[in-house]
Amino acid sequence: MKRYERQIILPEIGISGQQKLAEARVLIIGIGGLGCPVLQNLAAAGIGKIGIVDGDVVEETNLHRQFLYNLDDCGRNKVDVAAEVVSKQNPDVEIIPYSEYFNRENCLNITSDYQIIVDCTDTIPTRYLINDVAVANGIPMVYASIHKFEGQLSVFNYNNGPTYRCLFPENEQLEKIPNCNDSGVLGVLPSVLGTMQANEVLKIILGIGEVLNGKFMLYNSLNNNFQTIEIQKDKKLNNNFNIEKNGISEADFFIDDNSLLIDIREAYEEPKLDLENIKNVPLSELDNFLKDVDINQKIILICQHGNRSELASDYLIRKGFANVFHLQNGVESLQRVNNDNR
Amino acid sequence: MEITVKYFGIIADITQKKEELFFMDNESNFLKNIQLKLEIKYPKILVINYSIAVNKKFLQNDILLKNGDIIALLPPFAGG
Repeated sequence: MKRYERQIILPEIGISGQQKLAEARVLIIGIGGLGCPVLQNLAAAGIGKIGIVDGDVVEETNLHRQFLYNLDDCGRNKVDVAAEVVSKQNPDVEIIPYSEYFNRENCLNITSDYQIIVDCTDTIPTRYLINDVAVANGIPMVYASIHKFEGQLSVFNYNNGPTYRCLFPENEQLEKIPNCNDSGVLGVLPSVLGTMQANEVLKIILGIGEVLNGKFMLYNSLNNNFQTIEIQKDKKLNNNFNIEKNGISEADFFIDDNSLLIDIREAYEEPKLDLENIKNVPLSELDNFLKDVDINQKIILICQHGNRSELASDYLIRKGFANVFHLQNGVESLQRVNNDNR
Repeated sequence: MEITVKYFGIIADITQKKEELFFMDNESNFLKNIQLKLEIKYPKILVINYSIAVNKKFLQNDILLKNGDIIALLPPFAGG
């Protein structure tokens, strides 16, 4: 604990705050200009478990702004180098490297065990995917992005607040927005924004200060201008993936008896389901569990509210399973039916 | 009526300036009117998926503007 002495003496943190940090599980997607300072700050502060996702390798052109890497690392996977360097700085922290790009196939498995996602990517389609997965999992997304000398920062989907889609509804004809490779960047800007993202993550975990929820911050590094703009939640918005509607109601769920029922929630999630024939298979084990299952078997997926099961059913359909359904309002709706029947 | 328009990110790259003043002749001007004016002046912004804020609030619907209002055109950024 000596390592954390200087932050523990802050009354807002204390031993209990340090304990919260040690128990926290944060996923950082993209370990480039933003991801490096986010990871370094969170690991140094003593976050218990940090997942890092990136399929990229270190290049010499990264070194002016991505300080976790050095010349000898060129050609190596970013996540492997980052995990090594950060583990040396703070061995208390468990770093889980995912050496792959975040996509529709791996998004549910990767995110299933984390409480907060930090978006440090550099492509807009990935941001929409991160947003949708954050909404499905009911967890906040700490967003930042940069363009030349300007940065944007916000926290989406926090306490049912606005999401990235409330601010930028997806547009098919979207012109490609340039990233740092296309338009250039000075190394200090992602360091500033990434450090501010880490600050938002720490405030969320510690429950202190004001989180940038429903607010969008803009920073201009040339004139030191900070400004904050209010975001409204777009209530008409459907934040889910565009997927086949294969949700079933609570009533259908109880009359069906030939289906393979799978509760995809994690072991710690309550209430437990008191039903015969139900399998408990967390998302991360779903692929393995289904590898011997006939693709025509009728499968019904169940989660807490129906969001994760909807995404997972979409995933299984795309993998070739022909008969996949999910309980559209989740375990909570079953509890209500159970109570009504008593 | 005088309206200030601020540009960010790729939109400032297109307009080649960070802000500009617009003078509107009509008595009543809706946000859509000035948006149309901007898109005529800078047709390239039509293909940008930007959001609009008036007086530091993002808006999803059209509103009637007042003299002195400040409008910001914000595109998403991609860099990370």
